[in-house]
Order: sequence, then C-alpha cells, then structure tokens
Amino acid sequence: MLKHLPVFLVLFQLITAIIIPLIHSLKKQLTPVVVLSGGLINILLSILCLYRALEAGPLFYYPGGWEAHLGIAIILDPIAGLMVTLFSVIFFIILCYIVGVGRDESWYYCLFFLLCASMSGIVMAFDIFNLFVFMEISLITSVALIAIKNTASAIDGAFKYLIINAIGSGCILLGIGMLYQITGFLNLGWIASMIDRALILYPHVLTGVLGLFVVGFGIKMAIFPLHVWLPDAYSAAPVPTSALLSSLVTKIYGIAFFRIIYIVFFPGISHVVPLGSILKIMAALAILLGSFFAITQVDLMRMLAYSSVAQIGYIVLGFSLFTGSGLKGAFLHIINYAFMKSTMFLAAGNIIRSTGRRDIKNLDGLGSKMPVTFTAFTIAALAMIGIPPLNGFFSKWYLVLGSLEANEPVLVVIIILSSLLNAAYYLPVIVRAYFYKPAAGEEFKVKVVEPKMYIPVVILGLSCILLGLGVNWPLKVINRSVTLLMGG
Amino acid sequence: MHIMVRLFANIHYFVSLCLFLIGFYTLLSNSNLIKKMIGLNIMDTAVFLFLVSVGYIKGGKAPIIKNGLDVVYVNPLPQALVLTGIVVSFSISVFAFALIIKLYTIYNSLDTVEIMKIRSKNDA
Repeated sequence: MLKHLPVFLVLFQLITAIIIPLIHSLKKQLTPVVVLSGGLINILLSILCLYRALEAGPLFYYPGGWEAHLGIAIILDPIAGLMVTLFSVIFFIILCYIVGVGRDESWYYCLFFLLCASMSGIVMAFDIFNLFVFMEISLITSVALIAIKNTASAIDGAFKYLIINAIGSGCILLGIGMLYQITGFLNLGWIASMIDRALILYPHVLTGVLGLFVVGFGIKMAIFPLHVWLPDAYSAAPVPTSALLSSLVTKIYGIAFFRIIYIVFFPGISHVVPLGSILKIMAALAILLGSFFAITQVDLMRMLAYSSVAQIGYIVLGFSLFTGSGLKGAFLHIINYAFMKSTMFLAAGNIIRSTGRRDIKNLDGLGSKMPVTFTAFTIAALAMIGIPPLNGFFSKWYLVLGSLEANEPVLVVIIILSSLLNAAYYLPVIVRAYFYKPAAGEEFKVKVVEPKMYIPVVILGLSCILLGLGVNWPLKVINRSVTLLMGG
Repeated sequence: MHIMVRLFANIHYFVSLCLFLIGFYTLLSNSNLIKKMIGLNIMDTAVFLFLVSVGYIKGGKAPIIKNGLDVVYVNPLPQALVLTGIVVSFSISVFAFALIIKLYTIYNSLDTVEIMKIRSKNDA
C-alpha cells in the first residue's frame, strides 16, 4: 500500500474531483462536507508522502511495472513531498474560504481538485512527457477556473491566459522532441546520463532546446518579459482562483523547470550557453520592473497581480544562482510567498466583497471598519516587504547570502532596492486604511464580514508570523532538497 | 553543395521548423481570434510532424511483433507521444473556441483590436 502512495495521492484527488459534482446533483447539503473532508484527507496523504520521502530518500515508482527506460517514472523525493504538503495545506484553507463564501457551484470544487491533482503530478513527474501532460491539465483547469466567473473581463483574461500559455506548451513540446531525438530517452535520469555525449556531439541542438524551454517555462512562470497574460487574468478571476494561481501554480512550473535544469543540464551546459547569467538578468528585471508596474496601479487586485511578477523574480533568481544558499532562499521563498500572497488575495477579496470598491485611493479609513481582515493584510504586506520577525525576511536573507556566495554584489543591491520598492506600494494602502479619514461625502457602508470568511485569512496571516519565528522547521526539509539537487 | 545534400536528407525537420515559425507568426501578427487559433494549430501540427519524423526509419514497418520474422520497425514511442499531443492540442482548441464564442456574444466582434477599443470605451 505504501509503495503505491505517490500514484494513490494523485488518484485520490482525481476521484474526489469526479465525485463532487455527482454528490452535488444527488444531495446538495453534503457537498461542503465532502469537499472539506476531501481536503483534509488530501493533507494527511501529502504529509504521509513527505514523511516517506524524508525517511526513505528519493523513491521511484513505475506505473505498470515497466522499467525506467521503457515506462513512466514517478519520483517521491523531499522536494516533491514538501511541495505536495505545501500545496495541500494552502489548498485546504482556500477551500474553507470558498465554502465560507457559500459558492454553490460543484464544478468550481471539481476544477479545484483537478488542478490539485495536476500540480501533484507535475512535482512528482520524473519523465518529461508525463510532466508535459500534467502541465496541460493544469493549464486547462486554471483557465476554466478563471472563465467560470463569466464576466466580460474574466473571459477576456482567460482567453489571453489560454492562448499565450498554449504558445509556451508548443515550445516545451518541441524542446522535449529535440531532447528525445539527441538522447533517446524521456526519463530525466537517463537523459542526464546521455547529456555529456550530446553536449559534445550536438551543442547547437541543446542550445535550441534550452531556448525553447526558457521561453516555454518562462511564459508559464510569468517571468518578466513574458508576463503579459498574468495581470489581466489574475485581476479578473474569482478571488480564490487568483489566490491559488498566484501563490502556487506559477511557482510549481518553476520547480519543474529548475528540476530539469539541475538534473539534466547543470553544470555541463555552462560551457555552451551562459544560462545562469541569462536567467539572473531576467530575474533582476522582473524584480525591479514588476515592482515599478505595481506602484503605478490604482486597482488593488492589479497591484497584487503585478507584485506576483516581481516575486517570481526572487524565486528564479534564487534558483539561477546555482549556490546552496540561493537554492535555500528560493525554496523558502516559495513556501513563504504562498502564505503571504494567499493571505493578501483573500483579504483583498473580503475588502472588495464588503465595500464593493477596488481602487486603492477609496480605501481610506477602512482599517477601523474591518479590523481583522486588515490586520491580516498588514502582516502579510509587512512580511512581503521583509520586516525581520516575519517570514519574508528570512527568504530574502538567504537570497542575499546566495548572491554573495555567487560573487554577485549587484544582485544584493537589487534585492535590497526591491524591498524599498515593495514598501512603496504596500505601505500606502496600509497608511491610508489606518490613518486617513474618508473625505466628506465619501463615507461608505461596510457589509459585516462573517467569521467563516475571515478565519481562513487570519490562519494564513498567523502562519506568516509562525513561519518567520519557526523558520528552522521548513529549513530542515529544504536542506535535504538542496543537497539532493546540488549533489546531482 | 554538401549543405544542400544534408538539408535534403533532413527535409522533414526543416519543413516542420518552417511550419512552426509560420504558425507562430500567424498567431502573433493576426488580430482575428479565429486566425490566431489556426496559427496555434499549425504550430502544434509542426511539432507533431517533427516528433513523428524523429521515430521514422526508412522502410520500417508498424511495430507489431510477429513470431520468427526479423523486420525493421519504426520507433513506436514518438507515435504514442504524438497521439497524446493531438488529444492535448484538440482539447485546448475546443476550449479556446468555446471562449471565442463567449467573447463574440459579449463584444459582437472577433477582432482583438476592436475588442480592446470597446473595452476601453466601457472602462471610461
């Protein structure tokens, strides 16, 4: 039974996704119970996965019993275990929020579980074609999760998301084909064993493969020049969707991309293409320009969306430093960022729902009217800026250490400058909410936020503090992942 | 001359690359949503052509093992990949066309430039 755990996790999520609409059509009252218990069992299974991965090291699973060079390989290592656990926890809290809002759409839950299954598949795939298929599932489900709102702007954003990401998928598939052509395998481990020969015989083909992968995964990760689809899609999507997509989905693509880079290409590729410098430049531009765009936004949701563009830059930066501390920073930032960003999106959702206002300049004096929601928002915003006891500080700390290890002092300046920029767009919201009085004639009514809607936000906000104070706990797992990737 | 001979021997790779670029260009340069989708489909088809030709062996037979016969088979794995790829590209196209129908009912236009104009007018 334990042997089949990785497949069982994905299967459980898929089966729950199918069961939910069925139960909804039979007995409506049962849907929330099934959804929440499904989410809880999902957390338990994921923690079991993490425990197995930490206890027994990287575990391989071959569906159908076919050997690695013939069949599909699924890997359960500390990285996969950590990501699956993180995903299931955030996923469960967002599910609680949706149930609290009282969305009566079984299809929405169904798509959520499908997205969860595809994410678990992506982090556990050790075979690039399998990875591709899971990425397509996640693409279609995430577009559906945006389009389900059925407003003009949501359909528009969803179509943009779909068509630009489809270009990325085409590039990745062509890259996979070329990689298969020159190495003869789809399994990452086997490709890695053939890569030295391929680097000597076909350096140009490998350059092409890398170009296609950088463009394809870059679109999916929304790294700076390829981010154009992101703000429209996230600002128009339903709030829980944008919380989940922004906090986790784009980052999971990053994990998949850098797993390929670290296992297959690193370090031989640096003789052919200066991959590290290209990614570093893209990341630095993303950090700076994403923040600049965020400063100019007037819409709260769009500001959060552009801040995602900036934050993915930190993660790519950490991975592309190719040092131990940089990797630690990247993994830590993925975890911290998931909690910070989902807090902010859900809090912003509460704000918009109870005031009906999206513009930042209309939020004067809101801090006293929605104290709980706004406290959570403030904690997450301070964490994002990087105020020491909160979690955002530690990931930036490790990123700075990594940049110093890699002998790149310019990047240290960029990281510190970007913290200032983060403050420049988050602090005005907080200051306006707490210290400004609404202008005369501008007083507005605030609908009461029910506890079941703000409790998920509060839990997420508290975990920002907890992860800051107890930073050693995730670091234990991250250290294992880092040695796995750096050890090769 | 040598280059021409080698190019001719690998003509399928060259053609698939050209098709990929044609599709990419159509997707980026046309403002009509349907034409964008056509470009996307050409792009996907180019990748499938590439994948199939990777596994093709001249004179190779379908990979069905018959007892006692020593026949050259084409590589079945790329064909399986293409099969999966077709399913994926089909579902993306269908989904995109469904969204295009929605957009058409909302804006009464298939042109991205016009849709942008209508949107900015509505916002103002």
